Amino acid sequence: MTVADHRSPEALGAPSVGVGFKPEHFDAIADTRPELGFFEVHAENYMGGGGAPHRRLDAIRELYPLSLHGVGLSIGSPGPLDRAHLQRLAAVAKRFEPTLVSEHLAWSTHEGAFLNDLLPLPYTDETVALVSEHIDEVQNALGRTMLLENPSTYVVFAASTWAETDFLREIARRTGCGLLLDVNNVFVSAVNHGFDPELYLADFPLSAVGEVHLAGCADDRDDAGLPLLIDAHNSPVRDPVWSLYSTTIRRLGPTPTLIEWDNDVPAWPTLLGEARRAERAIAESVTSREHADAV
Amino acid sequence: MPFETTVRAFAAALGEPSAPPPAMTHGRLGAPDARRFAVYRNNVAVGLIGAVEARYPVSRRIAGDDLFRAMARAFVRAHRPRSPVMIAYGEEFPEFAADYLARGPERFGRFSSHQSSSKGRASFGRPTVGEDQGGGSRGPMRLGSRGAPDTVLGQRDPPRIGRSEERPSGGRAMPAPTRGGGCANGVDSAEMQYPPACLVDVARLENAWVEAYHAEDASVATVGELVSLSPDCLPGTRIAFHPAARLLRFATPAATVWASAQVSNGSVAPSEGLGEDALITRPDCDARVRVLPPLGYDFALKMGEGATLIEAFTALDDPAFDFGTHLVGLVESGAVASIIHGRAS
Repeated sequence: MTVADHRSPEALGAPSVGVGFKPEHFDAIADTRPELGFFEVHAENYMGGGGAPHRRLDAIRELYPLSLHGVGLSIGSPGPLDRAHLQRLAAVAKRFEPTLVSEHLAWSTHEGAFLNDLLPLPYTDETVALVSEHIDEVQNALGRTMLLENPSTYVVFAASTWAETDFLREIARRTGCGLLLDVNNVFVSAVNHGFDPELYLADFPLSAVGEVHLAGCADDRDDAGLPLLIDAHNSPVRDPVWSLYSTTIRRLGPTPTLIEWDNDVPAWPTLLGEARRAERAIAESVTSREHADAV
Repeated sequence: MPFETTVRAFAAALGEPSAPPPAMTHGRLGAPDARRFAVYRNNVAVGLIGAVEARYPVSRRIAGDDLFRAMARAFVRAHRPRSPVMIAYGEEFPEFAADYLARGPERFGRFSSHQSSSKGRASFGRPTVGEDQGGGSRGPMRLGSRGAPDTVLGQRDPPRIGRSEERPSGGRAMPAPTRGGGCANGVDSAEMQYPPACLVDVARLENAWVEAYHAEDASVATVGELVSLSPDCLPGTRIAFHPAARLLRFATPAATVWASAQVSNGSVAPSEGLGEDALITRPDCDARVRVLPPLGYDFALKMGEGATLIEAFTALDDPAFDFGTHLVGLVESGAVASIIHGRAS
């Protein structure tokens, strides 16, 4: 399989910053038609028969490029993929013609029961093969490449023999899929597991990255009283994440970037403000790259 | 350890709140960490309970937060979603709530394997009544007496569904209902202000409303098509219902209670009153609830079973039944996708 340039900025037009679409923002978006690179939706919310959700997304899709983000395919499950669900995803992709399609490095279904969370997996030879097979199947069903998102995790597995960055790099190599780099997930996992997020990002296969996610998180503590961050998507992007983003986007070049805010959804201007901040970070990264080139 | 074994142990521990974290999962100190694992357990429980709460906002309001949450918690233990499409999750909750309220929470222990009796899903209502046997004289069939026989009760904002993407704005700030009323059997009456039967009926209505909201799109028949029918064709005419149409029969005034709760800051109507028959339609994007006049349910049910007008009229066995008004009402409500012409007699 040929490796597409997942980073092509024209893929989503410029400016290439988007936000997660929430129905409560629909009127504000339709009334003001803000300049934005794209909107992203959870694919599963558009797997109903029709009605208002489809109608709203049709209207958004007429005005903006769309990114389709699946949350239920359970690509990291040990068993076979849920073929019926894969067909539903393919049908949503066919209907709404998204520019990007992404899913998670996680499992969420066990023995036919959907657990409604993105659950972690050990990184082993067995799972790298399994996930790669599943991604092949997804890409064949969709007739296009997909992006696979790095997870945020609260535990690690004693059985893991691969570093997460190597695991993702190998899957991208085997399947030709792109990667969705969630910088908040890197920050959350780095705090939770005590590693340096800069080193993780230095080792991340950036050439495969087709989209970046930014989001907010929440604070907790583990049994030992050590800080534990929860990937809550319920608040503004934190300053350390903005800082990691600036470094990363400078190395990546302009890349479609999404503000994810799924819980305690703010008023539209607040969400748009987060998107504008990401646009400024991209603009500054371009300036600093040009400056570096000129020196 | 094979990956499948790892996942099985992980999933088992998720469903067992008192279980220790799986041995193969570690925190920073190289050992299992209960608080870390609890994040996953909490995400699963909160996500599923939240989905039930979002699907049944009025039921939650009239049950009270504590009772509703206890029922929702018991429900999600007994009914894990069978599909990642969460907009379909929770449809068995009304029947589960009926059982829970009748038998009491002690029957729904933490690890109960209880499954409520799953009812067959029909795209059109609950065809459990209306088995009248026709007979007697028939009045002349006529059409064209305009005017809807039913009352448009209300319309609410989109429901709160899914991973918060389908979360609407309005309708949250609702006052607590006044205490009073009783409830027999399983659940202490002090916990709830409405009789269990009314709460269950409101939940049935809310579930049907969500089904209608997400149903397939389809065109709707118009009254113009109806009046253009030749009188000769009428007796053999049938109708095909719109995919969103839902027909419900309640022993309680559930539709009135539900509608009163759609008004922000309004008080919820009392539960005293006669039973109501309700029709939900969604001809375009807005799902609406109507209370049907007497015999309206029975007529719609017959027509929904594929009867011709003459067959439905015969089955209702009421010479005074004004089927023209009822048929126009059904069409005007957006319940009818198409009118299938009968052959001229």
